[in-house]
Amino acid sequence: MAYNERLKSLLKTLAAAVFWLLCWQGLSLLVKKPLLLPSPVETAQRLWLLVGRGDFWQSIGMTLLRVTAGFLCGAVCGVLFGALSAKSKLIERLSAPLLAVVKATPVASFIILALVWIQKDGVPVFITFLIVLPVIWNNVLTGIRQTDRSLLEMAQVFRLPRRTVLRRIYAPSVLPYFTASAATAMGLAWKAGVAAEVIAMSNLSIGYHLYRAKITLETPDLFAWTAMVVLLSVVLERLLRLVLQRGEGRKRDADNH
Amino acid sequence: MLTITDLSFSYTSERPILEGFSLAAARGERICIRGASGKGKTTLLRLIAGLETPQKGTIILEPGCKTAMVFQEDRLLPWLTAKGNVSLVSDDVSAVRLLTALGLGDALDAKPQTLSGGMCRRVALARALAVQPDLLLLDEAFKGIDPARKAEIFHLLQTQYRDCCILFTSHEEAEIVSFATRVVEL
Repeated sequence: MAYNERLKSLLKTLAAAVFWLLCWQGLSLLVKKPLLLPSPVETAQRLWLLVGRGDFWQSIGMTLLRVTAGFLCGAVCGVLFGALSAKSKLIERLSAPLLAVVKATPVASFIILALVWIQKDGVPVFITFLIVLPVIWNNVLTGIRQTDRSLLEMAQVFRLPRRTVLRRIYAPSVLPYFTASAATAMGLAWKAGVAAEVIAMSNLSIGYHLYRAKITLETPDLFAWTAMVVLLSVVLERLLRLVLQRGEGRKRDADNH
Repeated sequence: MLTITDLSFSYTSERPILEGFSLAAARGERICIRGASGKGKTTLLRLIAGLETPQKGTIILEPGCKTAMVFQEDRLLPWLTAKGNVSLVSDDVSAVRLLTALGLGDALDAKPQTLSGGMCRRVALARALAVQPDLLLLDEAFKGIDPARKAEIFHLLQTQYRDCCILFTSHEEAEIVSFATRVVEL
């Protein structure tokens, strides 16, 4: 994309954000009760205060660590089980009901169950893992199934080694599915991970601060912490897309030289 | 090189494609498989390539026979360049040499989607030749290639791949007359 087009696109995104911030500001002026709806300015001021506190960065760091750990475990297992399901009909049939149950069960039920099974600090990691796993699993399986059969036939006729088929045919076919699902799963990971922290009241966590804001009726705190979660989720999702797309580009360049 | 005996095949039980087909092909032969659409030309090549299993009869290839095929659709990897596609089955030096010999020296780094139909056919042909095949299966491989270029390709096949047994399908009489050593009707 040309520099001018990028700038235009960025300005349009910023304009949309400003529009909604103005709506929020207008609504809070109408409500006139910060306890019900603090304004964006009040939220920003509270966030500024929180940033100066010692436990702010520790809480963010710990939540980031938990969500990332759960996401990575879910992504690795999702790829592995997606590939195994594509390879074996038996594994696919056996896993289908399990995946359906995991997808349909309310996250809160899993969080409460996990609290019974494991230590409370591990609950957000486990819940994030559980939310990410089926998303990646399904998409990797779809990506493998959508791989062009005619290219696989070509590989069969030319007796291409299994490693070459994996690297040159399956990987480029599955990668777009993986990238899209990983970005979606990252958003879900933050939602579920922080929800688990709230219910499990994990030590040093964003979830714990959200819980505290709720019981002390500090709505601006609630908004400030939520804004942080949104920011972290968006930044990590963008970062992930960037890394995967760069990786894809580099791989293709390497394959062609 | 290749012996086919009493071969029968059908995709559905109502409509057999091939029935009791036999063929013996030796090294250096260039056999044109001719027949109207739906007579089983592509199916026969797919059976020889091992992509389909015969319901009856046998296909016997000489031990250690290297088979290569140019499919009706080029089946090039869209994310690789012309050179990358040929290098899949050979080393880079052979890939460049073959692509250059087939008149694609300027298109080594071009992706298939940026090439014309005839150019893609030539990349697919280069990929097939890069394995130094003993048996080459060409399914409408010369379609979309201009006559002058086609003559160069025939010359290349006749001089540098003299020992290779080639089975090809074609609808063009001129191609058959100038290239085939034998015609088999389906």
